[in-house]
Amino acid sequence: MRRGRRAGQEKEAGADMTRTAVNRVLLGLVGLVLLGGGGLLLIGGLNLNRRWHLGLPAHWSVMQPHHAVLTAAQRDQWRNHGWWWPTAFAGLAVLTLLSLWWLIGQLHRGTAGDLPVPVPDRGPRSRTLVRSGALAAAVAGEAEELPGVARARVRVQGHRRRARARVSLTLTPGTAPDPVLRALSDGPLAHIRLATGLTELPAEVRIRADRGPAQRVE
Amino acid sequence: MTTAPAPGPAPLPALPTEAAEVGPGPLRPRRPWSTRRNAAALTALVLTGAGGALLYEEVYIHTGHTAHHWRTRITDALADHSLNNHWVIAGSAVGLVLGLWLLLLALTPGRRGVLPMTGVGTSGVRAVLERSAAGALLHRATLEVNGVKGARVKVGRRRAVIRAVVGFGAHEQAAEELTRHLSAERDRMGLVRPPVVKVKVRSSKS
Repeated sequence: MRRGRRAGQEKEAGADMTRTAVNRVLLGLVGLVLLGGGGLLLIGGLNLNRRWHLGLPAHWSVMQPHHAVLTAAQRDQWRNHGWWWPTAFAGLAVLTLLSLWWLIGQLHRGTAGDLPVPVPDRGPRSRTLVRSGALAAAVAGEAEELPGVARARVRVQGHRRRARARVSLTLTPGTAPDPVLRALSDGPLAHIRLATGLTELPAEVRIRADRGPAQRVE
Repeated sequence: MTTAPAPGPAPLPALPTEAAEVGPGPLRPRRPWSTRRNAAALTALVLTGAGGALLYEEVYIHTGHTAHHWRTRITDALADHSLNNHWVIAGSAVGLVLGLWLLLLALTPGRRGVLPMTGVGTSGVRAVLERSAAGALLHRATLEVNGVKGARVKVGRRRAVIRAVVGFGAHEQAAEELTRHLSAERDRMGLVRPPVVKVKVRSSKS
């Protein structure tokens, strides 16, 4: 199950890391296209090519300030070619489907389903599963018992082999966060790792504070 | 640029093997990069809508129908306005700025509201402290100092500015005392990059 801890560490952020990468690459691409398109139109509209001697080809229609943005002739220039329609359809379909896939990817919260728990006494072919929600509730319940913790919210995300816990702790006013973090690691998180055999279950913890009655923080 | 230098999601550096033997060990304390979920969802929504509408219209025209009103309006507008038209220039500028903004979102870590914690003594845990929580702690600590009547605390990512109102006594002493006390309080938070504590003291108008 384990090919060294290092491998476990590296995939510690799992699916969310992939989503971060995809989101950022695609956002960057869209940004580049917008930047390039807007820049080109602006250069044409303000006649910057000639004024600033940018050296862009002057015969481009987009470099002529009095030229229309997109004339009917330009729009229809490829319309009679055999390749135009299939290409346009395929291109637009790919773009739309890709965007849809991207959009759907943002919707799910990545909650892990059932997680396998190794039980040594049973045969090799039997499997014991634990609901990730039950796991999360157990951690949250135990975390709320820690001194200084007002509320705890826990979600277990990712896939079976690379689940990870997302913990959000709200501390009572005046509680130092560092000892609570250590207590969380030694207590609830250690217990759940021990109990489930998910020794590598990484955790992302976010600590916030309850606003005390007389707080004026800006 | 299209190969994308893989900004945030670069793999974590390999941990020393000694640490690998004893257990998961603390994860590298750095600020995890934001997923940019909202920006991605919004961009994807716009792209899906625009792409879908265009695709629909292309199919619609290709199957022998006349174009919808909205499409002829857009194509007419594009054909009737020259590049130096005010609206075209404004639109291009908006596109340019939007593109810059998206690039900025793609290349910066985000999550500016949290401070990464070292997580010393923990294993497999990556923790962040909200800046407002750090501010609340510092504010509370400020009020513990003798003679402080009130305070405004602003915690940035590199420095925490505390504007304290003191009722009596020498300002310099109060400022020193506050700096000492608040620095100690800050050090108890276990932050990777503890913000520099800056104290400004003024007396209450009475």
